[in-house]
Parts: sequence; structure tokens; C-alpha cells
Amino acid sequence: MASKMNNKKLDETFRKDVKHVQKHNGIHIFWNKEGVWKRIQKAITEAGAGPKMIVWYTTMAASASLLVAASLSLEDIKFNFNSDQEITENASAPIYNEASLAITPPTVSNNYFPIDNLTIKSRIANIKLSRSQQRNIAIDQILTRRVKSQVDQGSLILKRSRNSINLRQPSFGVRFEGGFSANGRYVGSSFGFGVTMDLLKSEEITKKIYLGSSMQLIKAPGRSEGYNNALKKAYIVKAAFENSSSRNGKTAAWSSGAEFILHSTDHSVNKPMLKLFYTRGIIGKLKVGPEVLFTRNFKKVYPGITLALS
Amino acid sequence: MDRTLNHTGIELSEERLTRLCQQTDEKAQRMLYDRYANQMFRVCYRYIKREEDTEDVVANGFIKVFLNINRFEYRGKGSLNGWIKRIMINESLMFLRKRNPLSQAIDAADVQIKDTFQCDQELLAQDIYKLVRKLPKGYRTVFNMYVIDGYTHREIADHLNVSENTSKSQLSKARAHLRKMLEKYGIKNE
Repeated sequence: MASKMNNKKLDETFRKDVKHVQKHNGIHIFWNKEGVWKRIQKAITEAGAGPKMIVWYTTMAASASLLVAASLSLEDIKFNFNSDQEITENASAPIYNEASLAITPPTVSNNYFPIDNLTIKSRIANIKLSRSQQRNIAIDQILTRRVKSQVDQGSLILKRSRNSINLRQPSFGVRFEGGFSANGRYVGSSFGFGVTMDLLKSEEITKKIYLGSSMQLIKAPGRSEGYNNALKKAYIVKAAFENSSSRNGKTAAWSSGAEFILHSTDHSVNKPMLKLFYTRGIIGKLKVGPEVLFTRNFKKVYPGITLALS
Repeated sequence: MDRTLNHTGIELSEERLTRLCQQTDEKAQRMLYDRYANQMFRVCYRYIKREEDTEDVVANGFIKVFLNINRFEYRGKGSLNGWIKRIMINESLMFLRKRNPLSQAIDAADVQIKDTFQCDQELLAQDIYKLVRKLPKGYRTVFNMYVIDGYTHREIADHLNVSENTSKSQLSKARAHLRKMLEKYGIKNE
């Protein structure tokens, strides 16, 4: 009888049978496995979101800053190629054929125009491919000359700028926009609003920055949970640099920037995600261009296409 | 397709699954959950009476698993299972401590077994499992820890904040209870 079982035997019996039940699901228990999984998923997403959000906000701020800085600097960067003739004119030594690439840090010069009461800063990054006269000493000579030529050229650029650009007062504005995007992760249409700030405005050219937020209705085929055809929402912040120019009656506009998905009701998209895009104006206010969506930690990249109406 | 299999239909090894989970791969997390959830539910269910409470414990346990998996070092087959099981047991004990201090439960453990057990001539393995669940809380905890999960009396004493002798006496009483139940149903005859 059971009462005759010694402790060892009793323990063995229970250990064996209980472990068997555990391992082979030998007992049917109704429990909400899916519900528990959703709770787990939500908790781990939230737990991981805090530190990652800081990283992503920083990344986004850095991207936006770089974007603006690069856009501003693009106009001023000049590639200076010293011609052989110049070198020959300024030196008596024979030319020593040697290609050299010299990249010097950007220089800044302040130029004051008393008539317009304007002070314009000019940044010139120098990337030069040239032939020097003699090995070693020729480099010094060229560099010395280049400092001088930078100043000359800097002045030249500014004079040209002054003649061609009639600067207007920068202004702020509010804008509503809509869009559509399709990438390897989801398709979605969005509408939102934001503010624009003119960085430079003239008769010919306008440069502005746009900061806004939008809500996107998305569908992630094969990934969305819950109702099969349900549209999910994603909340997005956006920063973009926009450039438009008009020459000879033709207007050309482009825009590039970053979008940051803060939250989504679709779990598969509910991650800190960064999207970079570049669009060009095609008809009126309609812009189209490529976009690239990055998942967190940049593990996966989804290329796509984006359409914007603003 | 079975969620514990990868896209080629081959079951991922524990080691591979661990590595993917450490890389925060969502599919791997789901695979790990699917592979161990039922088993871990049954582990916790041995300690906790109510199913809803067991679900809470399992959820908390898996959250800890996923948040701490980077600290886990794979040491061969079964090590992941063992690690998850330890976490689940600790979660169960924590739950029991919060609800009702185990030391009190142990003092109050000498209660009569309610005769609600339905059984025929022979108990199957699942009935043995059910018998463990029928033990009073204090007995059940000590019995589960010592006999099924392999804790020593010292470890039990540390976890439950009782003395080693209390642990031993509770185990002895738990065995006696189980013997009574076995005898009552005339099962596991020698």
C-alpha cells in the first residue's frame, strides 16, 4: 500500500510523474497563453523603450542638425583647382608632376557691406587636386598661395552673391500636408501639420526648415495582429530641409529629411523607427522620391517610395 | 506552421534561440515563449492555486527572462530550460510571499484535506500532479521545492525565511499528507 512507501520511493514517484506532466503537457489546463504573451510583449517593449528613446531622439536631433548644416554649407563649398598655368606663372622652377590632394578645414570670413548693412559669413572648404613644382617644398608654396587665393576667391563669391541675391526677411509659417508611403515594412497614408521657418529667402531661391507631426494610417501586410484588415495608426514627428529655386520661369524644389515613428498601434511598427527621405517636386505641390526605413539599432533597412502633398 | 520552428521548418537549438533572443529578435522571443510557456505554466501552477494568479506569475517570469537574457550564459543543452525554470520558481515564491507570508502559511498548514478529489482505481501521472496541488500552501511549497525542483533545506530556509528544521518538518508533514491521499484513493500500490 501507499503507506508502506518509504520517503525515497514516494519522492521518486512524485518527481517522475510531475516532471512528466510538465514536460509533455500531460494535463490539460486552460490558460490564456496569447493574452499572457501580449502582456509580456508590451512590457518588454516599454522597458526597452526608455533608454532607446533617448538614443533615438539624440540620433534624430543630430541627423536634423547635420542636414541643416550640410544644406547651408553646400552653397559655399567651392572646389578650387589650381591650373598648371597659375603655378607656372608664379614659380620659376620647372613643374614636377605630382598629383596631390589637399583638404583644408573650412575658413570663415566676415564681410561687411555698408550699403545694405549686411554682414555675410562665407565658409569655404578647400579640396584641391594640383600638380606641384618640386617635391616637399612645392607643397608649402602651394599652401601659401592657397591661403591667399581663398581670401581672393572668398571676396569674389561674396560680391557675386551680393549682386545676385536680394535677401528678404526670413519668416515663419504653418503648413498642412498629406502623404503616402510604401516600403518593405508597411504602406500608409498620413496627414499632419507643422511649422516652417525660412532660412534664406530671395527672389530666386528659398531655403526653409520644416518641423511637424503627423498621424499615419498604416497596414503592415502579414504582420499586423488582431483584425486582419484593420488599419493601424502611427504617430510621427518630422524634420526636413526644403529648397526651391526658380530660374528662367522654371521652378525646381526638393526636400530631404527624417521622420521618427514615436508610437504605433500596430505592434510590428511599434518601435522607434527612423525614416530618411528625399523628394523632388513633380507637379505643383506634389513631391515624390525614395525613402529608407530603419528599424531600431539599424538592424534592418526597408527601402520604399514616398509621396508628399504640401 | 509551428511557431517553435524557423522558416525552414527546423526547430532551433536552445543555443541559437538564446543568441537570437539576446539580439532582441522578436520572432525568437515568440519561439522561446511558445516552446516553454506551457511547461513553465505547469511549474508555477504547482505552487499557485489560482490560474489567473499563475498567468500573472508566468507573465512576470517571462518578462524577466527577456529583459535579463543577456546575462544568461549558455552552458549546454537544458541550461536555458533550467534558467527559465529557476526564474519561474522564484517568481512563484515571490508571489506567495506577497500574498501571504510563507512562514505564516506554514504555521497554518495543518489543515484537513478537503475531499474533492475525483479518482478511479488508478491515478495517472496527471493525478499525481493534481495531488501536489491539493496540498496546503506551506506543505506544497516545501514539497515542490525539495522533491520536485531539487532545492536543499538550507536553500528553502533562505528563500522562505524559515529555519531548516521547519523546512524538514514541513516536508515530513507533506509526505504524510500525500501518503494519506494515496492510501485514500488506493493508488500506487507496491
